[in-house]
Amino acid sequence: MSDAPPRIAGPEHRVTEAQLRRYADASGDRNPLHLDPAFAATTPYGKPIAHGMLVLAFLSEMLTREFGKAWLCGGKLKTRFRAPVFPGDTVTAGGTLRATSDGMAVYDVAVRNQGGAEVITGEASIPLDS
Amino acid sequence: MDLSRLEPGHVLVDEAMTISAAACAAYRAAVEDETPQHLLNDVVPCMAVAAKALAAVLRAIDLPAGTVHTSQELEFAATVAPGSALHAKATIAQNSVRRGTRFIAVDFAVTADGDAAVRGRTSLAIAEAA
Repeated sequence: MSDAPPRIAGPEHRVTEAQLRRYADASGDRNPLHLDPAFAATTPYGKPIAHGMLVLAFLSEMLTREFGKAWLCGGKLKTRFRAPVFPGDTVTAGGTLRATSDGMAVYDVAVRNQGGAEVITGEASIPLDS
Repeated sequence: MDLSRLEPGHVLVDEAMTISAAACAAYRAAVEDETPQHLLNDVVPCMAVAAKALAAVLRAIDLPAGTVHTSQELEFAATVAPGSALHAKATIAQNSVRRGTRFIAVDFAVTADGDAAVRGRTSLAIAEAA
């Protein structure tokens, strides 16, 4: 990657209960917090929430589409899970270039829900071509 | 498992694994990854590798239902081809209790055919029994 775009954005993803089951099967993460409405009702969330790594995958998808191999072979990500994502929510990843230094482009990144609330925030670093 | 006995440095995972082409396809379907095929031609999505390592951690630590993933750091060093010989190692980095919640951080690293591929730190929050 030689140029770092000032803003990046990923596609919308509408999260569904069926998707949580597919992700549990694919990833092996069967925490009932994500799959069992009866159990989730006993937690502060009140209902199942999406796996954090599923929502984080939307962020990585955006970075892969934008930066390709530079992301896959040198990308770094530091994120916090700020709020739950529930089935029925629509989330979108985005990023804003903060700086380019030491051969890396550093982006403030986030995943936001349909109300604009940040559900994941963090920074992504992508190597620039020398 | 008595989580209070997990000291920093404790090895949770030290195991061989692989991600087949079928498992890769199932993962991409689960996360609705629409990355153009030419960017992922014969490449496992980097987040699938991280998710595979994290699933091994979750199996090893037998976390209580309702454990919440609070933050995630990742570094991607190299792409992984489906069917590659992967090896994951994960160790406890931190384990502490604050205000009735246990916070556990796990460092993990995955190699592919002997070369560094993905490493990261997963932070988890677990409500302590009253």
